[in-house]
Amino acid sequence: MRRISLPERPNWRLRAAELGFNFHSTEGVSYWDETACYIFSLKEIENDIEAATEELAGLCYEAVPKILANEELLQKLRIPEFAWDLIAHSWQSQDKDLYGRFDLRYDGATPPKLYEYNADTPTGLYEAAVFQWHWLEDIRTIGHLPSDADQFNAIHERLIEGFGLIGQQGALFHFACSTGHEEDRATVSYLEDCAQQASLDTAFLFMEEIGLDDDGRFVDKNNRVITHLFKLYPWEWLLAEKFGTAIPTSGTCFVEPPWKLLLSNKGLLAVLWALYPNHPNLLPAYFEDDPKAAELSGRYARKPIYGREGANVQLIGLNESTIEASGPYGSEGYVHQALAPLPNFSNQHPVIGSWWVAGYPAGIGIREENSLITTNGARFLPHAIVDKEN
Amino acid sequence: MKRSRNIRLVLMGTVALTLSACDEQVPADVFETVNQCLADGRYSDSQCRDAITEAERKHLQQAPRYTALQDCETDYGTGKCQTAPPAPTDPQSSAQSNTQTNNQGGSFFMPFMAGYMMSQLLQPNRYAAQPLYRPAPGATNRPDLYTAAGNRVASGPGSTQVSRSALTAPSRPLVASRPVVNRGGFGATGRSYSSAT
Repeated sequence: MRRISLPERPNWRLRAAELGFNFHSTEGVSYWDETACYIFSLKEIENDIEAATEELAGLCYEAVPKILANEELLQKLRIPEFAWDLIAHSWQSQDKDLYGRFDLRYDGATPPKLYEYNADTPTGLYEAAVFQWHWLEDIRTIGHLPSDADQFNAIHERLIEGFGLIGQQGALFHFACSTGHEEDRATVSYLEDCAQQASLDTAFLFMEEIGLDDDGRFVDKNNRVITHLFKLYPWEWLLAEKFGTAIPTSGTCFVEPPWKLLLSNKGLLAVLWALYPNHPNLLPAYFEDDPKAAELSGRYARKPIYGREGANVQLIGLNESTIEASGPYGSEGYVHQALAPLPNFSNQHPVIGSWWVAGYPAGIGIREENSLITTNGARFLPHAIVDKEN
Repeated sequence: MKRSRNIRLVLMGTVALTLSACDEQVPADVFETVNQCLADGRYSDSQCRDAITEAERKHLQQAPRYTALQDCETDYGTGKCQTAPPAPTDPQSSAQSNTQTNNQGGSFFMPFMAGYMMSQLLQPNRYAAQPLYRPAPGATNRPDLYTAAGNRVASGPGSTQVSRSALTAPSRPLVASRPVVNRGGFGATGRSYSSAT
């Protein structure tokens, strides 16, 4: 694994516009960064990253029924009690999950370690599935990388496959996100695109536009009943809002399904460590109020159970200091995870976002940051698989 | 190879896909009853009967569905509606549902099939059949024959031309006829946070 500098394609912004990738920069600062890329060997991808992702997904699937059988754990994970049956029912009905993103620490030398699992509303999808794929095609044509350079990225195909498994021919599949978030809107458009390619009929609406009729069903702006809903909106917010209690009896099939809430909060990290201590792909982790947290000897990442994009994460005990990211989260409690600082490649710190789609390790997207906490200031860098020295 | 062979986008981006066969016009024959088909003489006995059987099968899946009989009859006329069996798309039959009842405590309502159309498929001697519906005379619709998706086909029996896309099964979402009580019950948290993901 290595990081190399590479010339930008002179027309990359034009390419982005053509492909509908319009959120690549904020206030002049570019989120998409192709001045460098990461290179992996096929062995690193297959034996390390892909294998670890498959393994972790399996541990998570095994953990779900164990959590459901343990009320104390459900409480520790701050799952609202009125939703316990909804979640159990969705698991027992085998409601399918479409996707999730495992954030891994990987340095090319040691086994990948799970930082957290973005199981409900993972971000960075379009750039990983589409834009970095096009980058590789162009870069191979230009000749900056060998013509047989590859990429770990079948995300697009797997998304279409996933929708084919979840959707029903002839039934309308609704797609929703919150207003005011351009990136979310673009991500949802992309997913709608994939669903249409799986021969599904789709319709978009904002979360605020969802209505609830007298019979307790969710309806769209035209009063059509919402039978299938892809939501780019976290479960914990849905359940806490006014219509939350209507969800269990609505009959709507959600993507991601309700049982994903058990995996999408960081309490999962403590649960996994308790179930599978010393697993090579896990870091030690405990709930903040667990006496065993003392085993971390004062060196840990303190993470809010329901946090996003690194907000409110503190790295404690790193070189005798504390690094902290600001944010609004924390009221639901914290987990402590053993400190495993991101590896350093040219003074940048990459996190591997490993996508699990339609039941497969589907590909990776890499984000890097100068800082040791990956926040929404991180940049997305493309990668390639190159096995020959070049 | 560890990456997708190809990436095609239909919604995103500026490269629009041309819809190929969907909008092509094809000839179709419209009948209100199987006897009209038999009397027409151009189709064999079995072709006529197979077609109406197929149309009736699709009718059960595709017909417009209403939660209230009154709303169905407003659109299609008094006495022109029947009870509908639950379709796979209704929330009632999803694994996740609890008891789903409407005001009448029963199932859903749909208009009777008013006729059907037959059109030759790409293979010789193979015909597709679609159910047709005739709305009650009203301000917005001529009381002609329409597909379940709302494509106008003809005013009555006879030969006509339809778009190829009208021959394929449309999605027919359930229309909730009860007035919606509430909106805005989701989304409040999203507005106060910088990111939902």
